[in-house]
Amino acid sequence: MLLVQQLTKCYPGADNAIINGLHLNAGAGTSLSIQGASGCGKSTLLALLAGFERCDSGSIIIANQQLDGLSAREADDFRKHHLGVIFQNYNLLECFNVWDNVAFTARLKGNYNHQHQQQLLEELGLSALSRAPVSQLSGGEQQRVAIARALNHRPAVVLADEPTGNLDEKTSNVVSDLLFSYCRKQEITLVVVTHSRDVARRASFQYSLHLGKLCADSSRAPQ
Amino acid sequence: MHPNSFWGGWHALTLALRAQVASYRQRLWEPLLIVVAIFIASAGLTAVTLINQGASQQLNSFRLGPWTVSEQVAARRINEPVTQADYATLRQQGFDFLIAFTWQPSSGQLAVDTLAALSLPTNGALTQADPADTSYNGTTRLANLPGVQDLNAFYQGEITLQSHPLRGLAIVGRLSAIHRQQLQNALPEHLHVVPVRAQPTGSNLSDSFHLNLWAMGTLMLVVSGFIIFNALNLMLAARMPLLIKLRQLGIHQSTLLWVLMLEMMLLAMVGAILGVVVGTAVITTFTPSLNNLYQLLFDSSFNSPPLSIGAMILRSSLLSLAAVGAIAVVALRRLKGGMSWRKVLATTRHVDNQPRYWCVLAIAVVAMVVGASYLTSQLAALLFIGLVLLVGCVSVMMAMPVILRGLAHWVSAKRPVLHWSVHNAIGLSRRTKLAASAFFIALAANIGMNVMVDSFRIATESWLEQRLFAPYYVYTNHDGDLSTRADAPAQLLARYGKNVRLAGQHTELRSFPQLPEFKRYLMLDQQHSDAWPLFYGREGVFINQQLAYRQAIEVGDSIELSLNETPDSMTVVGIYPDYGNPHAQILLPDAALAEERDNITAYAAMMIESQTDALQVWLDAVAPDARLLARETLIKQSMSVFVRTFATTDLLNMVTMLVAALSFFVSISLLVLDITPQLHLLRTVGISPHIIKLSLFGQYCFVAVSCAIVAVPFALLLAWLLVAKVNRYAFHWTYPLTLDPAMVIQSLLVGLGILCVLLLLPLGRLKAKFTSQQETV
Repeated sequence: MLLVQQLTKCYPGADNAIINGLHLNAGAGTSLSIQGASGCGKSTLLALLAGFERCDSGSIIIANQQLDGLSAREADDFRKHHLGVIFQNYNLLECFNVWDNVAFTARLKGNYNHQHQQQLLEELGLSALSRAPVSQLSGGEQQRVAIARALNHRPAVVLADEPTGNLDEKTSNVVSDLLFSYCRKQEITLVVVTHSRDVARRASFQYSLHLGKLCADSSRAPQ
Repeated sequence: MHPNSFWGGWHALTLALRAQVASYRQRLWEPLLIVVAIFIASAGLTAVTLINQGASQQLNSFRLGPWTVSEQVAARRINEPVTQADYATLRQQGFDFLIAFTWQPSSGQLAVDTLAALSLPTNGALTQADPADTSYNGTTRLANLPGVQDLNAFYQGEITLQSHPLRGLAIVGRLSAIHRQQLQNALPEHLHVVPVRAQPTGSNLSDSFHLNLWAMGTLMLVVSGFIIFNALNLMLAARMPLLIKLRQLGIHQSTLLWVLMLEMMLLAMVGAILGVVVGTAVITTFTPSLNNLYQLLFDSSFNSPPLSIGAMILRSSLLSLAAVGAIAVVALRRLKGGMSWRKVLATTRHVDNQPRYWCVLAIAVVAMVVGASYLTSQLAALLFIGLVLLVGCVSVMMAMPVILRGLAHWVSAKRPVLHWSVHNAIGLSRRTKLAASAFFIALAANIGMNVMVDSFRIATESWLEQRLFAPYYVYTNHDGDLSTRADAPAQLLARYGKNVRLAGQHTELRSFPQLPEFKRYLMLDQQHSDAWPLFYGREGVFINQQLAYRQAIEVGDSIELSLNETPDSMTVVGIYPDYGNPHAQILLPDAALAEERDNITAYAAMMIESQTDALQVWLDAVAPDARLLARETLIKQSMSVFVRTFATTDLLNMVTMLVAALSFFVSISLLVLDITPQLHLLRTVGISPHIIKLSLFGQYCFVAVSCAIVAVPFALLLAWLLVAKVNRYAFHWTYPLTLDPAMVIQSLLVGLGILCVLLLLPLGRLKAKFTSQQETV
């Protein structure tokens, strides 16, 4: 589902590559957590995986599609169909209520299904809030809306950037459980960048990003 | 706690200021855009003021060949006029730039000492011929002074300096301080230097023009006020999260208010002063071009306006400080409102969702529409226009979100980007309501003025077409009655004139042909059932609107008229429009005035084109000063005066609209900064940049169009007020309100077009990225 080979990215003016020959292989329904110090390249890796930025060398294959050869328009279409993204700051559409926020990606992709969304909201504990304006929700509720939005159009891969960074421990646990279990159940590949060990521990595979390479969290050995 | 409360307060103030200034490093665009908004308002206000002043001067000047005369030496008292001896003495003393002049009482044509004019020491066209050359006769001289008569030709027969004294001595060119002082020292006691007054006739739209300029200046002032308040309000919204954080850290709200006020005052003053300087520089730079344009298009002048940068800076600064004061009240309420931004947001309730505000607005609109009929003075009408604009602004603020909600209801969620665009526009309309109000005022005023001017133009044109019934007209000061001469090669109908005082008011008596075939040429607003029999029987008269409105005379009323020594009671049998005439007028049958006339204002020549040569030859023989003008020429001349009168208003209107649109643009630019995370999301979920830009532009258009939808009915009410009330009480005439949908749509599209072009600018680069926590603070 997600295959990354020899991925390298170096920013102009930088002495070292921020991503340096990185390998990654994750099947459907698996989850990866990536930890690392600030500035080690976690967000860059996510940006490369999402097709926001171009790599200098190497390849990224998601859902049998190679990302690095895509034009800007094809990359947009690819994201629309295959990717779900969760932001630390939720980035909800403030003019919409919960229901419309969650429906947005599915409507965009063209696979909106009322029952599916209803079920998803129920599973995420949002059904009672479906008509509420997002500005009136708590941080945990807003993040659950963001998760629902990332999952509703049934993407192949979900990229989550610090999904619980703004939440307290209890809410963080609830949100993480929901995210991981839902992805596992729906066979969605989940890549989570986090500073939280509790969140990281829930993933099938735990990595640290160090000197541009992924290391298994326990041993920090290059993959 | 600091041991000394003063130093503690000072310390808190400097700390808060430092925090405020530190935020510039991350969000420099905010203060910059605020300065730009205030700068635009100030520059616009300055430009409109200067254009206004420059254009006003054309009414207080006249053209003499290549020169513009705006000052004159004139008599202090009417019984001690400028004499030939005064003129000769002053010229002998070396004041060669003084030229004697007067106006023809009937036609208003300028008569000057052309010989003196030709000897003016300038490089104008007049000096190309040698005045001493005897072959260079009066006719040649006049060719160099278009539209000007020679004084020698003017003072002929019974017209003498005693019966028609000189109006004054025109000062050609601009006087230096030394020359002015020398001239003032040399002037006899009964003379002084004064600005040239507008011509007695030919510029009879000048009052209307003055009123328009005044209205446009006031409008710009109001629009500028809105723009500055809007800019500061946006700044307050941007500052509130930081201020609340500082409050949470223990800084007192009064200290924070001072910090905010200091920052706003500083930014406002920078914007205001820069605006005045740049606005002045722009108008000063373009004055020669504007003058050329005026000369080319309107045979008029745009003079360098008198500059008083200090006064303009003071005015812009006061306006800005007033806005800062008003925003301080808002800021204080918000700071008291809560200690968290979320709480402040939660307590902000939208008035458009509250029925009681709608009830109040509905009552205000109904009261306004009903009340408009009861206006009985010019001041009341002008104040009412202000009220209409105020109610309009409230309507815009409340109606825009409702209109957009209605639109959102119809947009299918199956089109998610459009769906988002319309929904986001609802919030945008609430946050741009002050900028929208400024745009609303400019747009409503533009449409209203255009409808008024268009109605006036149509009314004037059709009135001229109807009133000028003869194919040719003859204007002359000839003493006898040419219409009674048997050798005339064409039928001439004299238009007899006499000036009387009616109820203490200067009133013109004019004759109207007694033949029934001319009935159709008198356009009447109202008439008596037996109007024409009574008129022909000398029992009835027609009066113009000016007389009817000034003295509240209606059809069927009687007026006392003294043609000879005995007053006659006459019935008013009809009221006719007489556009552009500042005086009251009464029409009498030819025979009633033929004997009692003071003068003959013109002759209607009932002939065909082939007879013109014969008539001209005959006129050259019997009345050499006569001017034979075709009906079309007269209409063209009248309409060119009309165009000249309202062209400047159009220009001012456009400047106001541009400034309001720029303010909208600045507001949008600021607000786009706030929705950046949402735009990142849209990019992330696979929406291409140009689709996002299109949807953003769509939002701006939705907001602008919803504002325009509200503006149209108010603009039409404004047009009606200008036509039926302001004209009625300011100039004592009215005309039908002509609603040309094409013209309304065109005005609307011009306004929206200007706005939309500007709104394309904030659509900067859009990038998909993961926004880090630090970036969003």
